[in-house]
Amino acid sequence: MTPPVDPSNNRVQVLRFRLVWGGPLVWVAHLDRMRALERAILRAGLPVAFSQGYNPRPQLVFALPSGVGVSSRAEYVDVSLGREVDAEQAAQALNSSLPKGIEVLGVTEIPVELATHVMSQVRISDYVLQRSGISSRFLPLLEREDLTVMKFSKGKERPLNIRPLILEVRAESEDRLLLRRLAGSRENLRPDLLLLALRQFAGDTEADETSIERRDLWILPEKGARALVRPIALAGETEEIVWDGE
Amino acid sequence: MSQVELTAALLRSVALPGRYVGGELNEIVKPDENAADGHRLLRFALCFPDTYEIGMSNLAMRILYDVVNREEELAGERVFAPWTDMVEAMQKHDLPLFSLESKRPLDEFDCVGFTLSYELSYSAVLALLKLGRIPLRTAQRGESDPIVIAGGPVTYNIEPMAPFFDVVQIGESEEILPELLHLLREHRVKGNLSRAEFLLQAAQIEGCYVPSLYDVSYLEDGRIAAITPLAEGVPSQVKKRIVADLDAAPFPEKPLVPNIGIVHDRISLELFRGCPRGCRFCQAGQIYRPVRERSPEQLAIQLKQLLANSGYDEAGLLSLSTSDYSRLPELMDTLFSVIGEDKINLSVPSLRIDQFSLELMERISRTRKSGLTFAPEAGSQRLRDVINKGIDETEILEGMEKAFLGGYAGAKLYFMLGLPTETDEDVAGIPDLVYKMLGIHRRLKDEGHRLRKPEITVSTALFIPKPFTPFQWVPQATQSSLNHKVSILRDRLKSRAVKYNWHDQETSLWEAVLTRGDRRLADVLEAGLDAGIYLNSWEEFFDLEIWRELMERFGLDLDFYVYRERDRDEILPWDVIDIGVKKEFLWREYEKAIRAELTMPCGDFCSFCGVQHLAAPICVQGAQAVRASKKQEGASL
Repeated sequence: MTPPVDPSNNRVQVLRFRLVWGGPLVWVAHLDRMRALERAILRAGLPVAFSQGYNPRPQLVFALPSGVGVSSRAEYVDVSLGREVDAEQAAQALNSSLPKGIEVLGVTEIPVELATHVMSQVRISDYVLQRSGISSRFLPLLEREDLTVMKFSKGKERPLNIRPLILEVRAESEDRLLLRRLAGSRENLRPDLLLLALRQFAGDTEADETSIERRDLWILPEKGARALVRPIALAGETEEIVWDGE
Repeated sequence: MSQVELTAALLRSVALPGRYVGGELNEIVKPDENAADGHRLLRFALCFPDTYEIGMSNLAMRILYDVVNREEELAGERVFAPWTDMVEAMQKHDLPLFSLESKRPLDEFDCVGFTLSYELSYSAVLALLKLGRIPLRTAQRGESDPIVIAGGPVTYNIEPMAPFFDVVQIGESEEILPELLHLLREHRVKGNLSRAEFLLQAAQIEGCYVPSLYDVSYLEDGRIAAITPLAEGVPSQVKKRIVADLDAAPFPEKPLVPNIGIVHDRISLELFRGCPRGCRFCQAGQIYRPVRERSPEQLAIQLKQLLANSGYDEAGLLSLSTSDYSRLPELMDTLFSVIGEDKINLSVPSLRIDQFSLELMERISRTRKSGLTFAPEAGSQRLRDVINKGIDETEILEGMEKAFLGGYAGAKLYFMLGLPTETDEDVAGIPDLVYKMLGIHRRLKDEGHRLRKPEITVSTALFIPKPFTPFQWVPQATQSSLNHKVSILRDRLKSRAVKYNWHDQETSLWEAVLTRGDRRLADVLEAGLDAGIYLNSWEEFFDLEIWRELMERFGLDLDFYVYRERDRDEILPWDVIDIGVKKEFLWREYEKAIRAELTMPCGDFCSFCGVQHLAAPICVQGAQAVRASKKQEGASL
């Protein structure tokens, strides 16, 4: 039986979950993803802490939500709890309540004072693009210095040169491309803009057929650190990214 | 089985792709396997002729999804109306309409059933059949085509859509649908019955109306001459069928939890069906008779299961008149003990403005103070008596005073315009009432109470006479008289504390045609489909002029349906249906309305509406009253 939800609004513990995000919920927007996760947390009976005020909401923070149509093996969410629980047990309980296509890959406890911090720590994310012939269509684009597309956001359309945001591209095969790009709250490249660039600069009319999966997300663990790490590294994931920025 | 493939490109090309992918929590996808009897499952498409967000908010959809899938031999899957961008994308990719569960094309189902809640969705029904590549008319369908059925409150007069449905359920589908689908399995799966044999047998199931087995003939002036059954065994009137015991009725313990936000995104607890009030404009108050309640114990069990299985944090209490639930204080105690300390909100739709309702609001709004909504319906006491609203001005004003003192800024007030016998004076009663409320606010303030700044919203809808109500014979108010009345209100409701909203007239006019319409309108509806009319209940897609033109093309007159007064003895298109409540009772109520005489609500009093004969063991109050009157007769003998 699940424990009752603690009524206090006090955050006493913060658990960070790494999730696989797949299935039908790939096709919904951030607010709906958030709601799906809130409901799973409530079904799992985790003693989630609620926000104060007129309309209390469960306290959870996504590191960097992937957009509509993007699946992920590196979806991170920090959940504030009102009562201390065992992290592994919480992960199990959550896992059995998650909707189709979503799964817990790992869990770790983070300091309570960092409960809402993670968004500002994100620097880079890695994607896998897959479609027949994607590599030979995409790689030539990188020779251009200017890949300006119109970014539609918050009801406005603005030009954005996405080329400087792409750090590294590697073709694993003709049909599979690994792409590393800047991400986070300061500079961010939305993956749908890659599809737009494909259409616009490579005349690829079937660009939208490309499947996009986020493979990894990298954060700067503390101010002044010289390497980016994964928020939760799974077994065998040992590498870091050298970083000399802020 | 074929399966519609939803490619990434297709999904990226539409707004809200989450509408089309299915896969929600508690979705049921039955494998393509045989039942224990060695025959395959009957495949039923449960369709709602509006968007996912609206259809998923419909309680009947959820109940029927559960009812059908509980049966081992039946598999029910959902179909909603795709938004216009998706329709375009489907046409571009040459895709048929499909179900969310298995992505099966609509024409590969054995039965396609529509839940109909409003007349303006008729055009979407036809469009969905077309998108599903199913012949529109029952007369055009052959042995291999699906059987197309319907249910829901508007089916009590389904005549404008009669030629398109093979079978129409009259009453509460959880009672009718399993029996109908098991019979259909004999035809579609086992091959024991031809289509015609199935239809004939279906017509003999209680609560099933097979329109093609009735002939409707007309007089020269357009009125109906006769409605005649065409085969032996087909009843001359189809009796509605209802659930006797709501506690024993199946309900979905594991609710579908949508992946995208929907209109009513919460748990629904159905307190009772039917309404004891008998407001004379209200169709629901007649067709859902008699009142049947769920027990507090059963509702508590449901709430507990639904919360645990959904993760929702809000539950809505549904009924036609919540404060009339007979054990309300007990129910509240029980529900709050289930909720405990969890952050769960309870919500209720519009309430009567009485002491009881305010206490109820006070209790349920522990965490959130939502707005108050009241429906006085008419501005003057005389007119409220005409419609048998059964609430007087003193009660309304006392209720409002308590609301101000309880910390509410005001309320949303709902009224109707164009009610029978309505005069300008009655209409002027609306601002009079509002200013009396504001006067109370001023007085309370002068007395030193600390109140919020007053805010009163007035909304008027246009009265549409509905079948099976005491007003089913009356003409609808003309557009010019309604415009005049709206302008009275606009002039007089100009206070800064008052906001006035009024409802569009054009959609109301088309609804008025359809709600009391007959079979001849089917041609018009079909022509509407050819003219590209689809989501007609969305104002952005509604155009009355097209309907006017099409009616003219088929020699039909809008005024005949909307503005004509019917005689007491006229055969009405819906006379083929028996809702239990008798036509004589409705006429009696109409005459009382004209005299502004009240009829007491069901309870200690029985008005002998007729439903006590349809459902004697269920209509407890009716049965008691019948017994009492017999005793009295006995005593006087």
